Amino acid sequence: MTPSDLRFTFEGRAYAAPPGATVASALMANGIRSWRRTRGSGAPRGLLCGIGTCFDCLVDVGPQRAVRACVTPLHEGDDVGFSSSHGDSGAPGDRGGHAVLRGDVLVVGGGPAGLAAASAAIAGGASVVLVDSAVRLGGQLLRQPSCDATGSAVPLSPWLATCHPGLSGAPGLTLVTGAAIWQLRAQSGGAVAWLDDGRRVEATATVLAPGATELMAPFPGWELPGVVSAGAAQSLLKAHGQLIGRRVLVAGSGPFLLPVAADLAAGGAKVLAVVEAMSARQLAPVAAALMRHRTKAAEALTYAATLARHGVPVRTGRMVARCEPGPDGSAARAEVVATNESAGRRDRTGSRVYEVDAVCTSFGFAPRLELARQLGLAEHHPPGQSSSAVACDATQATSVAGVFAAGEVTGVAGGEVAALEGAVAGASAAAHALRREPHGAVAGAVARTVGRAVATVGDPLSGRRLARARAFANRLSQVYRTVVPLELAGDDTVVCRCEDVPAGAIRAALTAGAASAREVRNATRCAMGYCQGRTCGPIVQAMVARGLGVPLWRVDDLQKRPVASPVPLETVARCGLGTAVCAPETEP
Amino acid sequence: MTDPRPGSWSEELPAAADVVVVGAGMVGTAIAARLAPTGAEVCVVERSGPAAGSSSAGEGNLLVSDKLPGPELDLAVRSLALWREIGTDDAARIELEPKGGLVVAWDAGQLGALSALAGAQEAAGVAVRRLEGADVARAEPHLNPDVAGGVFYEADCQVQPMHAVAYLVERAVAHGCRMVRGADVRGWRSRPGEAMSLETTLGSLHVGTVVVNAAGPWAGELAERLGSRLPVVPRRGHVLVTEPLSPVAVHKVYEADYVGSVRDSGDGWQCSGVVEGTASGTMLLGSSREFAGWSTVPEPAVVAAIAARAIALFPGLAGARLMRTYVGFRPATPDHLPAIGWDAEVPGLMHAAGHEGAGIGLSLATAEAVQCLLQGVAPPVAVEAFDPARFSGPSNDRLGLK
Repeated sequence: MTPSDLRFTFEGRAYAAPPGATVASALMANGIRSWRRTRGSGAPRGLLCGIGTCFDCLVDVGPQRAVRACVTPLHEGDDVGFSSSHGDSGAPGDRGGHAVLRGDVLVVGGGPAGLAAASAAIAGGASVVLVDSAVRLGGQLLRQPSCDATGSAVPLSPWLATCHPGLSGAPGLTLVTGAAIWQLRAQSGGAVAWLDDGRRVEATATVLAPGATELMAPFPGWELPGVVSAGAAQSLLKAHGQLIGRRVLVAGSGPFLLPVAADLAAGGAKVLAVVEAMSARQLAPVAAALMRHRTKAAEALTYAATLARHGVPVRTGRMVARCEPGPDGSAARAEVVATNESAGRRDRTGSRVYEVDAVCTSFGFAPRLELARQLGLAEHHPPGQSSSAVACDATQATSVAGVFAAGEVTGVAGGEVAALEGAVAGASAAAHALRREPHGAVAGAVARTVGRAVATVGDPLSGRRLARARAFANRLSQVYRTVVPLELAGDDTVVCRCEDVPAGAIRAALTAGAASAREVRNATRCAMGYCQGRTCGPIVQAMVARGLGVPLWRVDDLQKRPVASPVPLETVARCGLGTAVCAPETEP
Repeated sequence: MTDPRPGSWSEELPAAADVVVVGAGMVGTAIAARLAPTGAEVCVVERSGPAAGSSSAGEGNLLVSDKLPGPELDLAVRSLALWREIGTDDAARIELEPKGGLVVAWDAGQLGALSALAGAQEAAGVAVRRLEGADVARAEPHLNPDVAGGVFYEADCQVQPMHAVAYLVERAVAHGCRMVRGADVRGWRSRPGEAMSLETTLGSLHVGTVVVNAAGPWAGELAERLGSRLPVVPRRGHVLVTEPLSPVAVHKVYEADYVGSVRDSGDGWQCSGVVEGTASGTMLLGSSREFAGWSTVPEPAVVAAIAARAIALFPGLAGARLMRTYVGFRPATPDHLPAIGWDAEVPGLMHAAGHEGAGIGLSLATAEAVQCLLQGVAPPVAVEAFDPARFSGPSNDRLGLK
């Protein structure tokens, strides 16, 4: 323990964790893997998505019941305890902020797309309010360490100044972090976003860059503490220097498995294997795609070199078929079996059991659509992807005037595409906002903004770069079809982790005649819990598609969420009111 | 995985049925479950799926407390008696909870009016218990102590409507009823009368005796397609759903002005606090009423008002988190009473719709009344007040249908 460490208790016992820790990282750093019990059977649960999406890691902190351990900052003296998976009447109400923040452009999301959008909008002369639900900017891809090797907190500003100099200290920029938008509306005059801390943002134009959620597949034991998303392992390591485990399997499908495995191996974990469901033959086109994209090829070689250096085997055509708990109830053994290429059936002949303390799993990504759905944005189905995405034109404009979108929400294509789209969206949004400015001598600013927007959009170099990056992403998504495999889930395998709904109940609902994901939800309560189907929704959708024998895209999804993030009722009750106005400086 | 399609539903129309029920919501499936065991050849024709409309967008109320003395209260009392006949296992499955309702008043004036209403309801056979002071706190320990008092209605119940519809579908199918989904009724294929035939998007269907309009808020549109008129319009409501909570409200608790807002047809929206728990631990918060067409986009001001009313009733809810909201469309008639009975002009057409917010509760007695009308016998509860003919003729416009 260093002097700057935070002291806290868990179930009455004293622990310490470095500054900048979340409750989850602090617990993991102390070897604690489980801090929630399910409402029904009281089964242990722990970290899953690691980025605030899944609500599996609910924990009680002081008077607060059922908060997400992975996004809740740890404070000195916190009294942490097992969550029994429900809130409490009498819990603290809203966080007291009732300010109205105004800007020309609202940017939703602080990842590569959002930061690029904010930069471009500021450069275009617009004032920007950027909102990110995470405490620190960067999103998953650009996540920065919260504390260094000596245990000192690491400020974010030097990093921001390096990668987005235009944002550093920009007078027209208002950064809102650690607050989530739960409700978003856009009308012709502009957009209003309601934050879960009681504040409200009003802007003329909006850039939606909320990113993606990670897809996971159900298999027996995937609910055990110690089985986490690959993204959770990565963010724990990037932000907190904390390894998810000492003996780790990285399993699933998709290019994302490689950087996660490489990071874990480089960080000191024994990565037992990378288990990729696709066979070597199915993956052959990836090499061809890499040949045409040199920077991506270099990136892939770096991962391969790191894995080779640490002796990590990549086992293709295989999946984790089950996990079994050890004496503490957390994952201890994982069985890996061969995937049958044609039907996805299991072939037990190649089965192998690994002794693990963590399994990191990922089956690709899907756009986060809840805010897009609240706005009623038109969608399209990107080729090779299982989920629909926001439809945009070349200026990143959506079907709703004044609303632009960038990054994974327009189709999962990675950080390079996200940043390029973000720059275009930010410039477009600034141009839109300043052209609509009702009063003031803004003609010059308008001209400059429009000029810059056109320059960005019409820049042959960045335009070509975007086209190339998109083409690469398309080739990759044609290979790694983001289809959630279902064949490993037994009837008693949990699918909806919030409401403890097993696969058998969903199959029974389909057998009884349910003909849509919505009907399955109504019959079983799946997707009705804290995460509102963010984790199980794609799985349920795939089960419905299989049950009905129809293509996935014909099945309704469960992404319509009028409340995009749980919010205290007291905050909701105030959502019609605004008591203070804090407009950022907009004059040059 | 087993064959996915052996369930109750099909997407093929039979060639003919005695009774065709249009709509597989609470009312339509109750009618099917009532008529199928009598030997009638029943077919339910649904354009979407079971409980796809209003039935899955409410709170599952079975109430007597909000009914003014008169025919609707009589129907509600009868319906609750029928609900209570459901066996223990089935009742558990559909989460039928005889939790009782507590109506609360904020001041002496409201309490006086509430007490007078309770007196009239008592005279009509409803068990009421007036609560004041410590009695209120005993009944609802977390209720705001500032309430002036309340009336407890032990007959009020709650049910999980999606599960209840599934249960009724199973009962109907067990007695030979055909359930057809994906069939939108276009109109008559042949003139109603001797050889009635319905035209649907899945083909046509001969009708032996009757077409029952159980299309909920779409009943007006269906009536029009079948050559008649029924003044049913959607009256939108919002429901807020909290995270699962340690128990807060023991009963269904609502503000006394709720009864008034049910009957107020004014423009703009009305909101009255309604709070209740569910078997799964979440709390359902209502309620609002507005004529907003078919918009499914929640109105922030209404959502805020409902949250504020809920906190006023139960201050401990201030920190409870909202997980989702949904909107639903009550099938509303100009006089807020259902339309149950033969169409005044089109032979072979019967209506069972327009129950506004009470369709879940009134469904079983409505089904019983439909059965009696078809058999030509008097229902146990008089249904003359619900005769759809009251909307016919030159006086129709005066009813203020929008």
